[in-house]
Amino acid sequence: MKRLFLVSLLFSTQALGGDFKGDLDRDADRIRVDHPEIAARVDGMSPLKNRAGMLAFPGGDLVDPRAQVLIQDRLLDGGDDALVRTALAYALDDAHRIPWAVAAELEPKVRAALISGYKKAGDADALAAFESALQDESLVVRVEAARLIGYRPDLVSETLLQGLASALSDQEADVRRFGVRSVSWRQDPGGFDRVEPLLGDASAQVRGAAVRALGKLDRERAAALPELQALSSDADPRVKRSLKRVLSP
Amino acid sequence: MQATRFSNILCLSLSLALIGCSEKGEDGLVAPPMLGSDTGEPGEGPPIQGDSIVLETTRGPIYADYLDFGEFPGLVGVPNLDDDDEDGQSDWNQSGDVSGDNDFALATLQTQDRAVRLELSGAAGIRIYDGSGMIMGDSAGSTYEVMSGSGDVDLRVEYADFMLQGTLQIEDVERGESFDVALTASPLLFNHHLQASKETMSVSVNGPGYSNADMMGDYEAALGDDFFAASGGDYEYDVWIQDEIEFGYATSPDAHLNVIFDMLRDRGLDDFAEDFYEKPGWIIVNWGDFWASSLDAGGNFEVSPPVTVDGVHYPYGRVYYGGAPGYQPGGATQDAVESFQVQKPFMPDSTWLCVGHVDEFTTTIPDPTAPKGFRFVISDTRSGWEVLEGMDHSTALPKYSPGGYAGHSLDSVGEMLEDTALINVNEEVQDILDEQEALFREELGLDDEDILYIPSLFEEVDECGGTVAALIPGMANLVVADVEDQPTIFLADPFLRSDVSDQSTDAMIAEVRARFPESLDLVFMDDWDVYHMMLGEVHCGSNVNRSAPRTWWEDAGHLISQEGGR
Repeated sequence: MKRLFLVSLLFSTQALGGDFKGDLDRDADRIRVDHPEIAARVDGMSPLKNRAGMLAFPGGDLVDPRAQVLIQDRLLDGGDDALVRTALAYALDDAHRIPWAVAAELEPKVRAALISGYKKAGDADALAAFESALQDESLVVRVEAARLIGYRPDLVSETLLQGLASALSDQEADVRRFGVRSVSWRQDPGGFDRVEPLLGDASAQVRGAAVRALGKLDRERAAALPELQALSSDADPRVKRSLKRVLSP
Repeated sequence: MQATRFSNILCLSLSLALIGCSEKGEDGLVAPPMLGSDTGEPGEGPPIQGDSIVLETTRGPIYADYLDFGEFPGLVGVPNLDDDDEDGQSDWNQSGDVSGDNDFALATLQTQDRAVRLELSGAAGIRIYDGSGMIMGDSAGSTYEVMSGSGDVDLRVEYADFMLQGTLQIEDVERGESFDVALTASPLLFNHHLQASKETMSVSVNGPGYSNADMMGDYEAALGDDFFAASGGDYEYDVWIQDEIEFGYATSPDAHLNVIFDMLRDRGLDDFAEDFYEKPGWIIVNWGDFWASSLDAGGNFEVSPPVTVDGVHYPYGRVYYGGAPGYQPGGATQDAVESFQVQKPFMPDSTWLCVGHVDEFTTTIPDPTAPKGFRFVISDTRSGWEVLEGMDHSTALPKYSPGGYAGHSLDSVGEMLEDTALINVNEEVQDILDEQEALFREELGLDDEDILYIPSLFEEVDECGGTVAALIPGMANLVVADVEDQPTIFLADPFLRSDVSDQSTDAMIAEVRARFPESLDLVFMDDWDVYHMMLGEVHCGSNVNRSAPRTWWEDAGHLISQEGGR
């Protein structure tokens, strides 16, 4: 168990700095020689569909640090299609998140999946990942970044806050919706004023998120807003639900 | 006793009908009541028949002075859509020429040796045969005259589809008297959890890091021969058997048709229904254009136990399937289910879930002590948090600790309690659950004492648009099946403990046991790797066929609109 921990620490430390790809290739080669059974498992495994129809690689054995390294290796070098590589990305635990500089070179769907590695883990590397992902050219990446940054109120920088502000005016409703939510979850200073204009958003989902977010940021102030009260005639159930939370005694 | 004699006589007299009377007592079916039984079918008993023209049916006699059994729904039957002679053709398409066909509504016309004129009206898709063949319907026309001196005539009525309605007018030519007999085909009915289970099924998988052998073992130990597992290798390791099929039936006093609604999802288990149930007495149906969303799955198609709502009694419960404006199960499916009328469907919102199925947050369980005989179970995050708060916050959670597809990257109870994002997610989920509970209260006529809250927590699912799935294995996603005639609950082990091998130390299990009726045994099963981490739980990975009550013509006619056969 102790040895496993040391191996894990070694690999995960390598994963966070230096020549990641070179180190990974070397580590993967060594594991394939020393543990052919693990290599056979990871290299030979096929994804299964979860109940929602998304590809996945279930199995508790895959959290073995050696298996994790081989999953990293297969993800970056295995030649699988983007859907399979997306599933491989979600098979990685926090300690084996892919450095964003490496992830940024991958397809949008895979990049979006790799952001989840920073949902709970990382410091400076996580900050850099979110700063970049919030400004990503790909919609799917921006959506995931806007959603997951709400889980990381500890990450703060001027660039990140600018990215989050731009998420609120993103052309895509999902980015705005998650951006609004993340601002409230993070309780960022000035968040109320930035979210308030989205009460008039064209998307009902965004309006509903804005109502809920304002209530979370300052319920009393939100309840007094004429723009918010005016939404009581909004027919969308998501808006109604949020209004009920904010306006109920 | 009198009823039994009548039934036997009727069967014997219908030798040309090729009816297998033993079929009517098929194991697991609830036999239809007969005239004179304790069920107290209409009236005080028929007046003297004298020399009236009589149509004898399994329910009882129909004649001009006694029309109780002739009134809607009258002479009821099942659609003859199975393939009793296994020749690859629907029996309906063979116009009565099927060896062993046992799907007719049966009657004997007692003519008193007088001429009788018969006239069939109403929907197309109804045929009537006598011993010589088809006499009415299709190319045989709509009228037929039985010549005087013909004696009694055995009739068989055949239906082409569910819910067809017609009228048979029977005229005593000599006396110029006539009476009408309603003809009605059974609706398609779907099973609910208060019906006794006949067989429970799952899909077994056993590969590296991916095995449900323990869960299969638990099922086998409890249910014995009433359980079977299909091999995952035969079905692309598609374990979601709840989503693939829904068991239903059509029934009548003379015939019973088992029905499988073969869902449009068409994944690895697509051939399961054909492999196991394509046989005489069964049909496999679905509706639509074969494009399916996740909402077109059996886990998103549930049936409540019998309820009374706003004074309307639904003796077979109500169907519910999840959806929301713009994202719903297929329109053709909805149209079909609505057309069966008896289990009037309604639509809660399930679209806040990644998979989007109603069985992820609701179910029903039998409870003889409950006012309605059942409890409506709904997920509840408030009590989920309460259970956690009551635990030692340092309790390690080895099942939850790993990342990837193995766990939830949560090491302890305290880490869950301090996770503000998790709290935020569940706050919004609870708002939705409260809304949905209100809807179920309205649609099922539920009161406070009917509802059982099951402690739950949800988490967002990556790659799923901010929708959620169970964080603590979803225990509302349970199976009700009978062990030695006693309803037993099979549900997910929540693993909210340090020693994963010792369920007795699990505070969540203790809480759920305390909330459930004492009359129910609870079997907590390890569904973690194969189901829970793949966004499903025990119910998703199981299916149950159940015994079918055979009484709709007595207790559900008020739910069916009369088309007017004449």
